[in-house]
Amino acid sequence: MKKIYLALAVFSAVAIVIGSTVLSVSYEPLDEVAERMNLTGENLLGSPFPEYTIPGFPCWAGGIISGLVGGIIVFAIIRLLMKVGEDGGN
Amino acid sequence: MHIPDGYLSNKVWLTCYAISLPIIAFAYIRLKRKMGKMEVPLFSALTATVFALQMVNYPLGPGGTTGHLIGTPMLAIIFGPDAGIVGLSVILFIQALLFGDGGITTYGANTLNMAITASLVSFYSYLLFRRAFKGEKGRVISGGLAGWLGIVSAALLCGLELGLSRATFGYGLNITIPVMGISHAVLGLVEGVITGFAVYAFGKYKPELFSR
Repeated sequence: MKKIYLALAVFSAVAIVIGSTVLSVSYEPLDEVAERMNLTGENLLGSPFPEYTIPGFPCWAGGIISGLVGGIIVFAIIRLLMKVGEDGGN
Repeated sequence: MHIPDGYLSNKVWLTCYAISLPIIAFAYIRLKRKMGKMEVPLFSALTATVFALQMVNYPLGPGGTTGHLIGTPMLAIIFGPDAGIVGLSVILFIQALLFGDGGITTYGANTLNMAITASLVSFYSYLLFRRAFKGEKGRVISGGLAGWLGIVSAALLCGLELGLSRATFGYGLNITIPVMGISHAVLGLVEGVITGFAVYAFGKYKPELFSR
């Protein structure tokens, strides 16, 4: 069982490093079409880590930190959501 | 495939919210009722892995475009469609809020495409494919085909929403649906391969997850 968690941790770490270095450039079909229309796609909320970068850090380092922090937050939120109301349920 | 703010017309993004929020809430309630306590840590870990996998942009699309996994099919096939919906909804929320990946007004549309549609299509198509493809090999083939269908269906719905937002996006359905559909039919091959591999691996090490 623990092997699965180890494998998932390794896959995640490798994905975050690759996604922040060699395969970090995103130019999706949606971007291509939007570019032709000069659409900028500005988000209404100013995100603290835009495009997985951290101000003051090189892009690759910001990407790795963003990936790790994001992954941990996602993990924690799912655990929390699945725990809410659990104790009072029975 | 994450739609930013400003691409969709008010009517379209409001409609998407009206459809997706009740479905996410319903899926969450069902998931809490059905998922065993022992499965929660693994579901949480796989969802975090999906978040990480989405960071990899592979340049395999037509015209040099890139794509990324959505990961919904593997979550939906392994843990059920409710898990796919809830897991991706959390990922998309964090991406929009912290990383500016996908908009806030378009969160309803993004969840409708990548969380809800991809989950339902991949899960139920997987069940159908399993009737035709038996055994371990059949699990891989079914997972691969369902994974591909999951991302392509999400892309087609994304194309529909963009095409219906011609006033803001500029292109009609005759452009948006083929562009999104064809490009993701190619980019989705990777989703299919990864989903097939994941379904095989989990089927081997956690076969009880597939007993439903």
